[in-house]
Amino acid sequence: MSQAELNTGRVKVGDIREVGRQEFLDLLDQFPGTKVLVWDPALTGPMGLVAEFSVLKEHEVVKMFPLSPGPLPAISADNVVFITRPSLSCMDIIADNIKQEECRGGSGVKTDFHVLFVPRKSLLCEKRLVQAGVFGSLSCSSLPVYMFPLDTDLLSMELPTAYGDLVTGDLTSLHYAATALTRMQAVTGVIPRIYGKGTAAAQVFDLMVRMKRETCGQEPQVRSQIDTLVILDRGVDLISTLPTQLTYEGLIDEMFGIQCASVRLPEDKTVPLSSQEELYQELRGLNFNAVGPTLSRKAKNISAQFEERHEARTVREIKQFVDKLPGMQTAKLSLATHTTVAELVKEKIDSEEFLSMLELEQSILSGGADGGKYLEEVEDLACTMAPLSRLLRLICLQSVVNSGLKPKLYDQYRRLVLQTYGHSWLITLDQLAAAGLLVQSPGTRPSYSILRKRLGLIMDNVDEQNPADIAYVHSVYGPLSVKLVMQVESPGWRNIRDVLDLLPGPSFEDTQQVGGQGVARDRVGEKKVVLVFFVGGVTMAEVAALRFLSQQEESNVEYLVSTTSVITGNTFIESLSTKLEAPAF
Amino acid sequence: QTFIESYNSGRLETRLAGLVTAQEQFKRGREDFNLSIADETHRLLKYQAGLEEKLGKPFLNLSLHDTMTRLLEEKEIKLADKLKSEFKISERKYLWLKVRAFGSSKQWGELSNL
Repeated sequence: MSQAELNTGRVKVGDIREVGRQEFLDLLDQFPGTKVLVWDPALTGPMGLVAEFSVLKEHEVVKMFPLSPGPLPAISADNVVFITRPSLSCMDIIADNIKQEECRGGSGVKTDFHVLFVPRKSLLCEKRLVQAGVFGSLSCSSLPVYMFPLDTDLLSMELPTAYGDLVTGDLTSLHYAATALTRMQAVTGVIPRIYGKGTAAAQVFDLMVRMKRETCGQEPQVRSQIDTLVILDRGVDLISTLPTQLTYEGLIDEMFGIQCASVRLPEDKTVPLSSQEELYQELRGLNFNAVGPTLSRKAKNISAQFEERHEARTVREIKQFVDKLPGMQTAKLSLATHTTVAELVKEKIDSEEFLSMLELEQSILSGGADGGKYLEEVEDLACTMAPLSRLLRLICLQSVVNSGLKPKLYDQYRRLVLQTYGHSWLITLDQLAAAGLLVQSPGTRPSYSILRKRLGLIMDNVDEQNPADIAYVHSVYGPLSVKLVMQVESPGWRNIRDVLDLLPGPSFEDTQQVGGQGVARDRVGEKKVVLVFFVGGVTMAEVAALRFLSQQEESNVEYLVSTTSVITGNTFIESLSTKLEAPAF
Repeated sequence: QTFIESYNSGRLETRLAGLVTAQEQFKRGREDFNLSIADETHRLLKYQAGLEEKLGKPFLNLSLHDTMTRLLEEKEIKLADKLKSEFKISERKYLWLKVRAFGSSKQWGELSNL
């Protein structure tokens, strides 16, 4: 999406991108002559959102390669620029590349090597390059791009391991998050009100306060575009990461994995998914059961429009029709694409396995049932070799909803997993325990039943075609995280202290001094803008719920979402898993 | 930790020895569940080594369920029965494994005798 397209929302997301893009291009311009870029695969997609190849070519980039061990592809350029996350494994590959290149003696042209770290250099990485003996042959710089715009109302830091890193005590992503929010405010203005819940959220806020103190007197002199920031630690609501997402976009992500606002379908077909496409904008947040009817209504509309050509009699009428043609063609194409995608999704959700999983999830979420009740069902699924992460999602859901499993059941589930999928998964079970996803009950009363009642998490008889509550995103369950965010405006977090205290970690509330004119309002009565930042990931179903709320006529709030990464239950569990692969005997 | 390390080796003796050390560690740390799992892993590996020798087919590194499924597919029902009792697999689960294994190996007679 272009800067102008990204700027169509209430917050000028395009401007945020523009800052990163400019820094990137300025850095490249510092290296005189032609450049070959070598990309850490984790960054190709995200950085592609910031600067397209066509732009890079204007800055003398002649070729791009993915980072891989062994010699660099033979190409002569004045500069080789490695663009990488600060990870040790990437350092080893870079060192290997450079050594092999030096052995080869070059192609007669003198090549300079540079490493750009996104978002910043790390001492550990530089040390690694020193140890490998290549530090002297290259220059290192930071490329401070922290947030990547996925849409006009969604920014991701593209750090898929953030939650797992926090669990193991690596706090790097919190520093990144605080820096990202600080840098964002330099573009979109100081955010006057800040709320937060959870340990990681409090840490991010502390870091932001410290960063602000360090730059004292240098307040950004721009009008504020955002009224309120809500920082949520994923650990506060693990429940909502687990149930199957039932929105169109959520299901596409579950089934095929959305990467940087596009999805790769079977047979290698890539489909871009953004609000720029009118039809997708309308479909993405719908419950999947409402997608079919909407598609067929659209199809009828379009054929009716094409029929109009028979009624066009005068030259003027014919001309009017012809003028509408390009738009109709685009709409037709878009309709064909999404009919295909919806059919692919439908194929998968019609399977017996999918339906029995869904049924189990929904009864775990809406039942106050005794924890042991589902053992046989879960056993059956395991015996039919359901994918491990799907099975773990179910078991973890039962654990988080009941604030832990009874000791006997806890062991039965774990043994089932190990005997079915292999004993090497023991480590993963320990990691899920550390993450709070699969734990033994401490014997206290589960807080879920209270939360459920107080926040209205469960809705029976949701009208999926025409929903009135966010519960439609999972058909019965409205995400706890989003319900908490809703309470910020009314009745206010001060009035739900008892609810907040049931959830882990501190909650806080603060204000920041806004210089000058205060929050920008183009029109009187315009909605407030609330930025919700999820530390540890957000699902597209949660994003859909927030978008749904923004669209309600009676709502006085519009939401913007930012996150360390977009997750699904599967990717979340997988980011916490370690597969031990024993060598063959 | 030793449990993880035991997976680094491609030699059966080293793997088994690693698992024995892991058991000692779990015992000291009073991690009963992990202790029983390390023990189960150890026993399963030894079983699988025996099966490879006996049947001349690969079994090592399969999960317990996959080991039993393969035995059932190979019509080694008695050996599968033995694993079932050795590792206390419930009747219910065993029935599932049989249905799947007989189905995939087209042993229709066995399937209808269940």
